Amino acid sequence: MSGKLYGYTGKILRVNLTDEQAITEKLDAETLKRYVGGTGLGTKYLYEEVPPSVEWDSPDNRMIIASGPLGATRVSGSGTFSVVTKGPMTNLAVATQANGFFGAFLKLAGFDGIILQGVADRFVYLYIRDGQAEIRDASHLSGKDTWKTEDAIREELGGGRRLSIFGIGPAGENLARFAAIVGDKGHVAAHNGVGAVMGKKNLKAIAVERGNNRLEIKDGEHLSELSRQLFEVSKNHRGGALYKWGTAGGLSSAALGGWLPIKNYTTSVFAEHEKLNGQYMRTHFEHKPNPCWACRMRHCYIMRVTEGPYAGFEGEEPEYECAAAWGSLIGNTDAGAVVMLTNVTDRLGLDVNESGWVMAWVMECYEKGILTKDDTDGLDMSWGNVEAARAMLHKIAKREGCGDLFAEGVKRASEKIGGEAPNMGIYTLKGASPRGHDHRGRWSELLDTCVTNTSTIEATFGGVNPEALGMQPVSDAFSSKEVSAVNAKVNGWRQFEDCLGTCRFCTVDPSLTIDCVNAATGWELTLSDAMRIGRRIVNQLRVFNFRHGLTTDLEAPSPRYGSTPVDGPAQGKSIMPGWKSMVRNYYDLMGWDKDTGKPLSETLKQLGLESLIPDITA
Amino acid sequence: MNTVEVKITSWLGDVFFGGESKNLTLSINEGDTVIDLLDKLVTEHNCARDALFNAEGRLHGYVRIIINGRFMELLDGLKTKLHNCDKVMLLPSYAGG
Repeated sequence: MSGKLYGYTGKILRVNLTDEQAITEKLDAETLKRYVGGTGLGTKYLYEEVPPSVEWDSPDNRMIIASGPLGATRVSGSGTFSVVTKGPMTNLAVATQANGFFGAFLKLAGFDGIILQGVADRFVYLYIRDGQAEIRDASHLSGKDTWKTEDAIREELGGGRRLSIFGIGPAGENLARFAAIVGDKGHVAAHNGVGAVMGKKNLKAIAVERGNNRLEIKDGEHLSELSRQLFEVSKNHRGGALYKWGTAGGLSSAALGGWLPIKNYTTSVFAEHEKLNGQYMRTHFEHKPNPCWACRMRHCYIMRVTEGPYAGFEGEEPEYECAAAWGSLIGNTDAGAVVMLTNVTDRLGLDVNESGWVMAWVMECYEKGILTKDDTDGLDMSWGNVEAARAMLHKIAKREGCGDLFAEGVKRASEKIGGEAPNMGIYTLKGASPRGHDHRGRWSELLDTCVTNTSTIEATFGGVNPEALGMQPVSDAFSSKEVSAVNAKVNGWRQFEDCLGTCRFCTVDPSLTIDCVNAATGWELTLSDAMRIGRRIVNQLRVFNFRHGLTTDLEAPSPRYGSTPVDGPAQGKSIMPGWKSMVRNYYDLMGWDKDTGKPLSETLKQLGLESLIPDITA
Repeated sequence: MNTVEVKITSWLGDVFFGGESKNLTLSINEGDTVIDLLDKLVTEHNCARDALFNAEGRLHGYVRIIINGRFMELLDGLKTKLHNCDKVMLLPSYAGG
């Protein structure tokens, strides 16, 4: 396959931090059509360049950051990028995304992606502009939080709003196992400790200057019209709720439906939800838009607290998962405190999901006497003590005192304490963090979280939505057979979507999204093609994971994560009696061996992955 | 006459009534089930059909129904019989997140 590339720069930047060299490599049309971009490109390079002997903290681990064919276009939210690496929570693959401007600016600077390898001999940052990359000393930025790092680099480079900067805070520098990469003041690539991988490489930040690289689009006029249509559909999706209230607007639905996590899953009832939801925050607190690239979705705001003990505090608006973690999960009912803790978490550079699970687990252990003030450096970790939570976040990010243990995440910390502690933690046996829900009433996501190959939800998103793909929904959300069947059927779309360089909130219509890709690239992809590409990524990551130590006994929830709700709308209903048959059915329908969970040779052949067969059968 | 309280929450309330949440009191007949109640809603509110059901007449995947505080799937699903003073909640999944 050859010919002119549309929708891409056709170049990827490879940076070896050990010898501080940056080179440009070409991306050919065949590779791009096979892997598309984002998570797909990341999967290709991770698989090809990270053999099983390489651990997450090895200099030979790769971190691939990539946009996609819609990056930097008029499609709303097309500043999104994927981060793919081998992460420290699972020591398996991770694919996680962040919004903002970075993905768009990267393309306008001349690159579809970046491959990071090696380790610098001191903290450095990477500065990318006009098709060039420069490694700069970042010793003076050591210890700075993510916002201050961004401010300092922006001042140093003088690029103003033409710069997008993503980096790590103290958590990544100190290798907290659930450190995140944070940038554009409010956007986070969060999962599986990608910030720790960056910290291990001594890479403090990446600054990319927008540049003047002009992308060639196959049919720009058509793409503009399709972008407009896709925005309108996305804006009005499900009553336009996201547009009006942000993701935290769903907090009351979650509370009423029993999928809001409350006090470490000890209850499913939370009467105070209306004090914490997006509707409350957007009607009580001052806020101004903080949009991503080309986006009018009003999903992101800068917010100033106007009441309560944190009146005057200003920072990013909490997403749903922040409100869940720093509200109901730790027993706090003050929305201002949610804003404060959200911003502390992001500025320290921590994943809010795992931070919330750790904090709630510590609080329950404290309540039950498993942990005392002797174990918490004197902090009173009672439910709802937000100042203690703030102090604990700092300890975790800096691995100070007790924070050194809790920086390992719930699974490892609870196993070290032993006794009843591991039974109270919420985690998957792989070590990955569930998203900020109580999944015991949302079985599709509980299953997805445990069997995923990306370390976060792989097939689902806010529940499973097969109708968007022309399939029928589940009729019984508590049917092991039906839930596993639908999860298997829909798996592929989300991973294709994460190849595009776009935000999921802005691509709610798969058909229009594919039309956009075709207008940008000149391809003629169908939904079936897109699903096949997505499933290829899923299977390639799965083979990677098996090569790197995955066993199917790890594809299960911790005792508390899979426990039976004691109250709420799913009271008394447990997923566990049918768990094994659910997983086996899922494996089977994914074309994997029902017992070993490994992709069958036939499946790999159908997906054009026959070259991987020796790797999985060896 | 038997009645049930129907609470239509979150953005479904917007779709039905232009408000975030709405409580209705609807009459039911002896032996009516959840699906009978939904039929009544569809009859009385034009916009309800598309909001609740897909083109094949199946309840959208994003709609969860809770009866007296319990998911209907844990009772008898759409065939769950309703009784006087029952509380029915229509709860939509949100836009991701």
